[in-house]
Amino acid sequence: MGRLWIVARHEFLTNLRKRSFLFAVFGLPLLLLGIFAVVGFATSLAFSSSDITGENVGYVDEIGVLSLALEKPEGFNPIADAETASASLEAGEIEGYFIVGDAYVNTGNIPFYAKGAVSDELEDIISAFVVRNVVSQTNSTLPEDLLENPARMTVFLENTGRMVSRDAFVVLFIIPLVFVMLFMMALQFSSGFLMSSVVEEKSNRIMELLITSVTPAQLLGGKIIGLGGLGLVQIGAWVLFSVVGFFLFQNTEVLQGVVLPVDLIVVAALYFFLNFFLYGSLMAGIGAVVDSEQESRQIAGILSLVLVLPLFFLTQFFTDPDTNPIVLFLSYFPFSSGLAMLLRMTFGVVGIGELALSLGISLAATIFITWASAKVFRWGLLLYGKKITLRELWRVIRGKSDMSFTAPQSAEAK
Amino acid sequence: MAQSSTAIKVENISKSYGDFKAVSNVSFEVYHGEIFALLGPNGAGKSTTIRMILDIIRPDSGKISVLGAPLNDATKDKLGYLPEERGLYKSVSVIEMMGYLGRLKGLSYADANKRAMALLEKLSLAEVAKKKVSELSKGMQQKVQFAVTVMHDPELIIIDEPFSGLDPVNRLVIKDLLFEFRAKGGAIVMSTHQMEQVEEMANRMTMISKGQQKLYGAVEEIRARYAQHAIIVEGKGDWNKLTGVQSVESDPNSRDAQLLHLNENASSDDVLAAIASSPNYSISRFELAVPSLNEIFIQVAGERSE
Repeated sequence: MGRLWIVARHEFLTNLRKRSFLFAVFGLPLLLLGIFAVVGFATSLAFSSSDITGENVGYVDEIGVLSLALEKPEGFNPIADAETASASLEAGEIEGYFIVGDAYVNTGNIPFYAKGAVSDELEDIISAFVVRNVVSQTNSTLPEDLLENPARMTVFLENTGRMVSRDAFVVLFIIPLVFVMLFMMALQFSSGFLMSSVVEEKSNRIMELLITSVTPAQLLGGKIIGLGGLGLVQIGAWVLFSVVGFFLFQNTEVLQGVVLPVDLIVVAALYFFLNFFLYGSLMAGIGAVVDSEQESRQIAGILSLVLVLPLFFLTQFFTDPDTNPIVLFLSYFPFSSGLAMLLRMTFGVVGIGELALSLGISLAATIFITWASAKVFRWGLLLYGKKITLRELWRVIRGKSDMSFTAPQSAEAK
Repeated sequence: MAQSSTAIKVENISKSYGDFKAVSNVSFEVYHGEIFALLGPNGAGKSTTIRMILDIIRPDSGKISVLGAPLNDATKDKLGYLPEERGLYKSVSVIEMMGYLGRLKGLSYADANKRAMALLEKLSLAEVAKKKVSELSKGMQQKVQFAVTVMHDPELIIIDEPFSGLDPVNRLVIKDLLFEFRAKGGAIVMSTHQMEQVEEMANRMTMISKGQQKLYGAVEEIRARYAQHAIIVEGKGDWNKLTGVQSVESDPNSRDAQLLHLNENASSDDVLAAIASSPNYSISRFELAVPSLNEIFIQVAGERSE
């Protein structure tokens, strides 16, 4: 067992010092942080240009929920239609206007058009006003969930047309998404390291030396543990950065009301663990049978595509995270289920049963792939300059290859 | 030579890949305190044999024991191997890499580093210990590789083509180290197709060609076995008229030398006496026509070595 840890330690330490790893740990988050800072700064500039007071706000009631105008705040005035309201805003007669219409019935969204930023207080006043009137509708034809969660404010800047959601869009959407991306990157990095370390040892022939010291199983196991640990360090560092950053900027406007997505972190950790073994052992197995760094990169590239496959169906995940067949397939297919499930948790609600099933499939696939890769790994270690066919690989996995390497011998020798 | 104990015992091993018989019924023993040469042209089955000894490949039939047992984790630690195609980790420092490989052979962290450093000093490489392997010259890399092979103080080392690509100075350094290792009772298996090395260094040898074992025994014994009843001379005189000489041909291996085949009942001493007693002859060279291993090799394998 000792040898396995020596290999693990070596892989961990040598890759820890690699420039590409250091960049992944420190550079990527800084880069992302920079992008967020620029976007946030630009947004805040746009807002601060003129703050509206709420003393003169128009509203267009297209569906008649505000006809009673119960508890109408001071300075709120009804306007006949959107065109008139837009013209009034243009002419400077009102500061802004909001529309309660079809969008509200369908999604609960209330678009607010203004030339400046809308304060939280004003939003609360508008929400309270709409809600007060909605709940008073006894013979309502409105959907039920609208009554439970009556208003969601969407603010449109009249001068840019850009939508700025106030409904913690950043929290619900971007933070988990960034987190998911970082998770995928960590996975790719560590399994990529695993493959290239096998390919390096094979191509510079140090492999021949190694396997007179360790068994292939010790070598593979040590690599997986060492580089898996490296991936954990990478993720751990990012989580640490996020937590520190979160507490540093907790009181700034952008992060107000943000809650750390703890459930996502836990689920992501589970998937990372499984996916790392899945992809890691697969990459090691491939590394053992390919002939060159170049070839291994091509295959790694294809695998990475499978890994991020769910991102190509982002729209489906966004609009229909619970029933879309593509979404469902991707969230059970073991090579994409990690990312797919995290996306679904971001956009919708995933039941414990579904999660358990997906994790179960992932676990079964991981065990099989790790086992099969280990067989291929020991078989391919000393194979040079030979193209391997899939049929041959299948024979190896079933233990029918005629180029047989020894089973761990210690047991038999003692 | 004290052939105290057997380091490797190979008994009737065979290995085929499909229809191709890579090694067929090969047997030999290697003793402590000797250099054993595994000779043969490229593709003869040397590497397959070594890989079977190292338990990288299983023989189809036959038995191999290394240091008294089938190769296992404990005996792996007493074994050093230098593969033909040399490789080192390029992007780590020499001392770090040696430390890692030493630990994989069962050394403690401190021991591995200490021994690595001592060996580097001996090979006058101490100043590059902290350098990355990729920064070393090729000769230096080869010496480092050799150091890796012996750093854990093995009982047995197996070296594939020990001198390929070494300059004469480093060749001497490595040769001395091998002799030193042998003097301490270590067993050395040297696989090569360079015959002069074997003549110069090896105690015993086996020759494999196309998977078949052609020769096996002490080097001098084998050479004597193939010695012709002939002498090689350089000098002046009509060699055909010399007493005891049956026929004369020019030595294929030397421009100025003649090969004198002797009568069945004539000895080389008789011929030397005849030359000395006659004023018609003068010689600058006189030796028994013991064939070089290269010649034996060509004769036995029916093909040219490189």
